[in-house]
Amino acid sequence: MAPTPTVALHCLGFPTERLQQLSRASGLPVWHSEGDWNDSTTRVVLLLGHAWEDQAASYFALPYSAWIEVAALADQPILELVERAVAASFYASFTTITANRLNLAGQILVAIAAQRPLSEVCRDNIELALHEALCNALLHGNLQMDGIGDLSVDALERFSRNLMHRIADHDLANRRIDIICEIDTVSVTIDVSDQGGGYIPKPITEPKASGRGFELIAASCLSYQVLDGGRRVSMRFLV
Amino acid sequence: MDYTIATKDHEAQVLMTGRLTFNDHAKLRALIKEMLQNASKRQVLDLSALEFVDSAGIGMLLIAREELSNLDKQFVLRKATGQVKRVLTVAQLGKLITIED
Repeated sequence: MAPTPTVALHCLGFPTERLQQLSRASGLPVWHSEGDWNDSTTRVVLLLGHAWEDQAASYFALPYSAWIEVAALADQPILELVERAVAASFYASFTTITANRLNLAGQILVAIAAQRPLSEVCRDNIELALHEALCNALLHGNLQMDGIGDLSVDALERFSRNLMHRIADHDLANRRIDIICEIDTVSVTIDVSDQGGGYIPKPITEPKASGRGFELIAASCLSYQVLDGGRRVSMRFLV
Repeated sequence: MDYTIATKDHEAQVLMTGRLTFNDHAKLRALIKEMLQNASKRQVLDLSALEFVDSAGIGMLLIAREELSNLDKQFVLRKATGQVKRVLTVAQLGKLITIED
């Protein structure tokens, strides 16, 4: 029987006193890199405060299995996200503005591949589908934007202006995107959810500059479902 | 994503590198304007060093084709490999843009 993993908390750019409070409230110990931990069974939930993005790539690796951007969240919502993180193989929760800056799909793929060897095609499929689901959550979900639309530079310019306008809106930019990843012996399941108004894909009837995201998701995974009124997509991959 | 443009044998050759995603909207606008302004009738996009493309990247390639076509210029995609080649195939881009190995 496999040993039960130890889950612990760690933080970057976050007050130590607050981490200790969250540790007591969640019942999870605080992790230290030089501590006496079993590297093969320890999973670390990383709370991200300020000034961590330059080093982000080095933290999407074992023993880290969850990444929670704290932003303006109070302790209770953080504890709820930590609870989700503890229940998942991998978990990530970021604000829209941060998800727009990071290559989250690529980083999470690296973390999954460190735990489960994947073929090149499987890696490409997971990265593309996760990237497309994140783009949908970000643009059509949290920022409530339409796609580029018409096949013209003018339409692309309108899209650029609209994106900059929406991302500058504090409330929209701080809506969250959650990624829950479950790994079993034969498959990887990834759910991506947002806090937008719900986005239901429409079939493409004529050549347009947008609307191919779900076509690529469908081609990249074994199956997918759009759930919660269009606020969540669940994708399953055979590995 | 980054790109460089060189003119060779009466065609403009654009070497695209990195990842082409929805966040490259400003760079793609600049690239399309450069391709519209240069004198070559044939604009070739060399994708051999492009590592990743998403659905918005495909959409922006279609915008380039449409705008160049309006000026009677030909747009060609060349040497796609790996993930990029697979996405071009899934999106059936070959029905809309000339694709060369």
